[in-house]
Amino acid sequence: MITEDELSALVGRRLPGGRARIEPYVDWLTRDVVGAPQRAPGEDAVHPAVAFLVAQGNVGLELEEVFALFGARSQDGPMLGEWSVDFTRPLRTGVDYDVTCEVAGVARKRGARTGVFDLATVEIGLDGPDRARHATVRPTYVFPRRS
Amino acid sequence: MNVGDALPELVVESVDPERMKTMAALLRDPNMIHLEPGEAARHGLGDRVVNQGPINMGYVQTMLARAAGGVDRVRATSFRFLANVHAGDRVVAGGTVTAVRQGDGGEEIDCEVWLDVTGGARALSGTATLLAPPPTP
Repeated sequence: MITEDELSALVGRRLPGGRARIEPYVDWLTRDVVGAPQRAPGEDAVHPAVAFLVAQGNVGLELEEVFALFGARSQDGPMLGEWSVDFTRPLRTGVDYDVTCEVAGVARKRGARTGVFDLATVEIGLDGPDRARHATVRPTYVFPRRS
Repeated sequence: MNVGDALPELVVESVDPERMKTMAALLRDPNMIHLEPGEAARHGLGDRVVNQGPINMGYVQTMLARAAGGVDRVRATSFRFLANVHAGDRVVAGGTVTAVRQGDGGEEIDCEVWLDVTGGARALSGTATLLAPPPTP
């Protein structure tokens, strides 16, 4: 099991990040999944849930590699504990976003029923062509630890 | 909208496992608890596949976008995932207005929001900020 010191040392670690363009079909599928009406012709603002996909999918690592960074595997049952997004402007189709990502915080917890588990929060920034921040996404993962 | 007002609910009568497959592909999510009932059972999560967290929060965001008059009027959401939602569950997304204030882009509405499993637990709770709905002509 990753030690508490090793976990703490990850704070501030930058992930590779990437560049993302939201394809219209991604917004279409997302709306279909979450029960939202499809975009009207001429509209380009995407469903807020697309921010999750754009952020998660462009940190520069596969999800399994993100888990590995925190000493976990998908078979261990990692979960999403919290998630937030702040938009300074809506995300839109056809716009190129620079994606940056950094480990923002970690914590080791012990629960009476759950045993030891770790919380890890990463902050993902989506910057537009104007170099301004359009959205900030913060997922917090829960990693059960079975020593 | 006024403080204390309830937002119109969004009801999903039966969570569809087929849509979990779509989300798994979109996310490139390798976690099989969303695809294989046996894998959910192996993790002690029951005998039905588990809905992805992003879908659960997406239901709430859809409810918020409808209340605000468009997806581009949802300014912020923050969720805490409390319990799992499974295939076949009936879920209800709801919220109440907690504050109305003047923001940079006009009148902003702060809300408490949630997603409840009918006959079960609260699956997520959180907060949201919306731009006030545009005036109706």
